[in-house]
Amino acid sequence: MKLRITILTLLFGLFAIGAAAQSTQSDYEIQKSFKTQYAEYEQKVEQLSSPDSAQALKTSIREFEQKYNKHADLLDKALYPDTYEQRIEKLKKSSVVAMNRLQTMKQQTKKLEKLETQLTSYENDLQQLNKRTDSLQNAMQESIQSEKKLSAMLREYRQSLEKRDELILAFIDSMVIAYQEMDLQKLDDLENIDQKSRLESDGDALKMIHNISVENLDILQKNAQNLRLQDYMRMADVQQQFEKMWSRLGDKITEVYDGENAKEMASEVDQKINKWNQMLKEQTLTSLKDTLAENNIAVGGFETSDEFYSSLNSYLDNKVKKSKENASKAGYNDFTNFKSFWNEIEVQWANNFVDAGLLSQPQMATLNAKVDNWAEHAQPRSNNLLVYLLGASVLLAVALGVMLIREKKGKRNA
Amino acid sequence: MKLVIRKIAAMGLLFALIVTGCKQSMVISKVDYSQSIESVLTPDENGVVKDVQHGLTFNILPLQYAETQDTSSVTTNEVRYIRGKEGFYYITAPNYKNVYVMAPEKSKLKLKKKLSISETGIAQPALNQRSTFIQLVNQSSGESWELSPENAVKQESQMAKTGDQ
Repeated sequence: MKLRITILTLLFGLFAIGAAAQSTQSDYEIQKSFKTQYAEYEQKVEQLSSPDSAQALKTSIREFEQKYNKHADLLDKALYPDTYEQRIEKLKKSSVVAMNRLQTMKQQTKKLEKLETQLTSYENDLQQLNKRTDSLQNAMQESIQSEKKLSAMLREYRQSLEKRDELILAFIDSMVIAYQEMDLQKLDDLENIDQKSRLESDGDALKMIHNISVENLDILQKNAQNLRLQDYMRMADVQQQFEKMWSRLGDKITEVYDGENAKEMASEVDQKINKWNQMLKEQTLTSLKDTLAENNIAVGGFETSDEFYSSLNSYLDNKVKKSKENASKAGYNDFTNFKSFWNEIEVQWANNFVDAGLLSQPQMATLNAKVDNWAEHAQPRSNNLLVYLLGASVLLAVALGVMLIREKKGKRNA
Repeated sequence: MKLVIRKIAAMGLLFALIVTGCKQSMVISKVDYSQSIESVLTPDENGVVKDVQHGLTFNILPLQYAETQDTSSVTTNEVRYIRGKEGFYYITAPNYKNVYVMAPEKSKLKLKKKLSISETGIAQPALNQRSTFIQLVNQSSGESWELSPENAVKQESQMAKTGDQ
């Protein structure tokens, strides 16, 4: 019993001391300490660098709130016109916003790391393909005498370029997926917090895009004789996709670039793409001239896309007119040649022609209509009617002959 | 003559009524002057403290003289004051033995009461506004006093300690 009383007395004493200590705090110190700690928390929220630290800070803010809850009335006065609750809510809200922001940033960092790995892989593949095409080009120059060997190498070389274009298209797809939903503001924040989180220059998208534009231009300049219309059409497709990707994401990619000369590189990419476009158009027109000549299609000369349309138009008008006047076998051969050439363009490359600015959609429609019109009149007319008339005459003569013979026989019998 | 005296008396009465009527001033009662949180101020080299928040500036040297009988230099770097409900200022500083209750007057603070707290002085004083009184706390010892314009009562022992002027 005595022990219980002693314990209770001790507990009461401790409680009394605690209560006394509680009541002898300075209001001034309490509010000062709250304001100081609040400012520290605000700073901590600003300086958060990971979702884990944000979570820890949230817990700490809850403890901070619990600690000062009992002084709410005093702090309402000290924080006027704000209230204690408003301030705490504000702090909690900023910590939640910071945590969400950091979580998004973490996800973006992962995306960037994945992209970096992809880019490195693309770069390696591209380098290998470039080496292969270079060695093939050298081999072609060396074995220029052996036509058969050269032809095989040329085929291989063009296949290699085709693979390279496929790789670039895959790269473009990756870039579009990776950068499309990327928040630039968050990337800036990411940069501020951790410089290392940026892409290393070895796997940097801008550098790779710059390299691709330079290499593609180089391929066009060096291989004018080795490429055919279908190569140019495929290249035009790649160029258009590349240009589209660059115009949509160029700013973001430049922003993310780690190096110092980002703007210069981006400007160079613009120039290269324009030059690439121009050169591709010129060489495609030259290739078209060769293809038309190979197919014995004698259209007038052209240097620009407008002239190309005019030449085709005049050629078709002329051919349609001739066919209407006198559809000959030679004219029909011309039609077959042209139809074969035109079918390839219409079926396979119509969109590329339009996208590359070689022919517009209405121009394509006009030419199609003229080709159809030519088809109606191209076939030489046959002399079937004469044959039928002759046949009918022969049959009539035979029938009359038979009737005459029967009549004579009848008279004899009578 | 009597009529004249009566007239003069009536006029005088009327004048007195007019004058007293004009002199009546408006009074707002039940004013609460209480300051929620004490002000902690640092005096300059002349002993002047300035509370921008509450619009009050005064010199502490008279208080320092009352406390130490020395005004050759400013001997404290902190002055704490709080205003009570009735409008009196409770002023003290670290190691002061007293709390000075000052009444505001035109361009001056007049000592209403010197509340003697401790013979040795309070090392870390703090003044809190409570619903019916001002609380003086010695932060280093945990002791506290209940202050009113007239007296200081130690809260733990409930012993009244009244200081004289």
